[in-house]
Amino acid sequence: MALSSRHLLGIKYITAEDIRLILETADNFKEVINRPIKKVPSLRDITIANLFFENSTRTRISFELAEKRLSADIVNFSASSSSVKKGETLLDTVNNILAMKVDMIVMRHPLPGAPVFLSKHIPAKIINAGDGTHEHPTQALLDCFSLKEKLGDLKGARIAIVGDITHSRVALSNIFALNKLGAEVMVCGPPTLIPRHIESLGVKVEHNLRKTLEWCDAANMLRIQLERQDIKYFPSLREYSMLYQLNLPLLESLGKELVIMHPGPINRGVEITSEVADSDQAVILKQVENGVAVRMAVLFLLAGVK
Amino acid sequence: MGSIPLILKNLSVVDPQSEFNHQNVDIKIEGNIISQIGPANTISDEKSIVHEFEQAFVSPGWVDMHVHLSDPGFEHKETLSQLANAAKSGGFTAIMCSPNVSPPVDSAFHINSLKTRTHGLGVEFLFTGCITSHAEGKELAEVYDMHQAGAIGYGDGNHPIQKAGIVMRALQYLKAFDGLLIMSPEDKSISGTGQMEEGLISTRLGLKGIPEIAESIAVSRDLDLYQYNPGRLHIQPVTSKEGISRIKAVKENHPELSVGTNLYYLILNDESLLTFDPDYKVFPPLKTEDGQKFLIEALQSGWIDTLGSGHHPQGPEEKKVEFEIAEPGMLGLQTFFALANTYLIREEKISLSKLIELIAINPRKILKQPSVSVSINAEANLTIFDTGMDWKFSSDKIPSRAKNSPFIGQSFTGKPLATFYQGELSFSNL
Repeated sequence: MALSSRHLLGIKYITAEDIRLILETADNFKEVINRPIKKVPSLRDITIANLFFENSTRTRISFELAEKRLSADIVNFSASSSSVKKGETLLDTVNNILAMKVDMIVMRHPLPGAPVFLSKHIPAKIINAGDGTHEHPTQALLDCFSLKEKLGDLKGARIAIVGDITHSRVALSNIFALNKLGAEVMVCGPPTLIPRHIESLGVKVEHNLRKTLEWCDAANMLRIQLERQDIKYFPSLREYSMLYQLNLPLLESLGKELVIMHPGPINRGVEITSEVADSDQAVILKQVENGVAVRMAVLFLLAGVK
Repeated sequence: MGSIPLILKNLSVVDPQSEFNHQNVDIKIEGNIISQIGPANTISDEKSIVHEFEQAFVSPGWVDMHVHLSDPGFEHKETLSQLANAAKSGGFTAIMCSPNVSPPVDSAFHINSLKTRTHGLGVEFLFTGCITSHAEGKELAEVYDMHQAGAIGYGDGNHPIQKAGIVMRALQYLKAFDGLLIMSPEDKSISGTGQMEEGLISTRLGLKGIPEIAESIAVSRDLDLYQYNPGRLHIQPVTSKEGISRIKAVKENHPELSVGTNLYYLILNDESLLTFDPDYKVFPPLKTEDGQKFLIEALQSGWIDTLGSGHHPQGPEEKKVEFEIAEPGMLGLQTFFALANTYLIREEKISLSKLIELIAINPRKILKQPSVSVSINAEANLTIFDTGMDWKFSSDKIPSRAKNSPFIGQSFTGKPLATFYQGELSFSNL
């Protein structure tokens, strides 16, 4: 079995079969990383460059660990997003790194479509580690992996994504992935932060958090992406949390088991309270653990594509 | 005069203003003037230079109503002489130029300088001046002085005016000398940092969408001001359904109000952006498929007066970058006719006569320029073109350093063959 694409640019560019293959492979790697000796030689002699043009902690470390556990050689490059707009172009930066014989690129970039752009101009394989408001495919894959662990087959499962949908690459990638796996998706948030045409992607829209939570089996609580908002979309974080915060009284009043997810970093007291984030129903740290296994699967499978 | 007469043989006339419309003719030109028109293969003269054509057409010289100047300030994209060559290659004898160069064209000095620098380039440059100083949308520029220097209209080009009061005073003030206001409608408080048309595709790509209302609300504002204070107003490019519909309604009582759009909105739609290709990034953005269909219908219904190429050169530095930081615009002059012929005329969306109205007859009326006709004793200002020839557009045909055309490598049917302007016959390099 092999992936249908030589890059992972976004979930919309891969098939449902690809997703299933990645999740199955991740299952094996999850077992590997829980062994006393976590390292396997699968990517020996493969050189990977992690290019982070935007701040990231967990995604960067997660990729780095995944690469190390697969025995790849790695180099890291970080640049502030402000330097992207002036000075050396993205293409020049990447070509300079490729000149040193690099096989794969893992890239986080503040501008949507940057990995797609790059894939047309360079020979290396590219993994999108988040590009602006476009996609964050490995996050969606690890979310699906975590959901499957809790819910089993996702066909017909009801998943809610709550928060700033407009500025969220996590939401977009999750919608594409969950759709491909047959789940039902609802997005919930203030009307100013829900794209006007989002329903055309086959999702339901709701602006009331309680109704959303009553409907779903799992809720993915997103962070408000203040850094990507060039204007004010709501009056204050205080008012946002009055309308869209998942807190203990609300959770308990639902009277049902709910899988609570968060892609991190959490803003405790804004979209989610500490009591909920630290509760048994939250799988937030499981997601982080699964992230390494899923990224190992992606790296391993892409390395095998001609 | 002394120059040798010229005979253009076997041309089919497309000119609703000419008694020879739809006839196959020979045309004799002496100096600058059409001295004789007769049935095909009847005019001969040993002292003349003769050019024989086959199944070709002749019309009044074409006017491109929407060309972005790059010189001065952005000569690395396209110089004035490269622009003139692109225009001639595309079959245009006149081009209306936006004022957004660096520094912006906002004084008689700039108009004079451009007039001097474009003299003798073989194309009529119709310069517009900024309506406000530095195109900042704050204070009126010295428009009468620019009028005296030869400017043909006033507008801030791709810096749309945000304040209604400025538009109102512009309309009022221009009446003093019957000046033309040219508005590019956009409410920036709505369009913001949007990258493409809001719709299904923008949602899929996670690119910030610009809703149509960002344009139509500005159109409505300008129309209200215009009705309060009628004068000469041309709005372009208009791309929204609401915008076009409202202009159409107001035109019923104000036939001198006019509206233009760009050809690429009729040929392409936002699906072209699915690969984040910066060559398809233009402002206003490409429409959704529905929006594109509406524009074609509006053109067929006669609600649109002019069609421009939107010619906007950008160098590789501006285009071979990530979509969001790429500059908007695409080249348009050289592929204009091939696109219109291949996708509008051959697909029977509009007739050839309709196209000639949009690019040769209406522009001169709106700009109050002397009309041009394929008629005896008229000034010879002509475009000669073919509608059946298959050919491929290649980047080595582009005179400018800017190569930002998404149509490079594409095959078309029909192309411009030559222009005649100010006593010069120039063959297209296509």
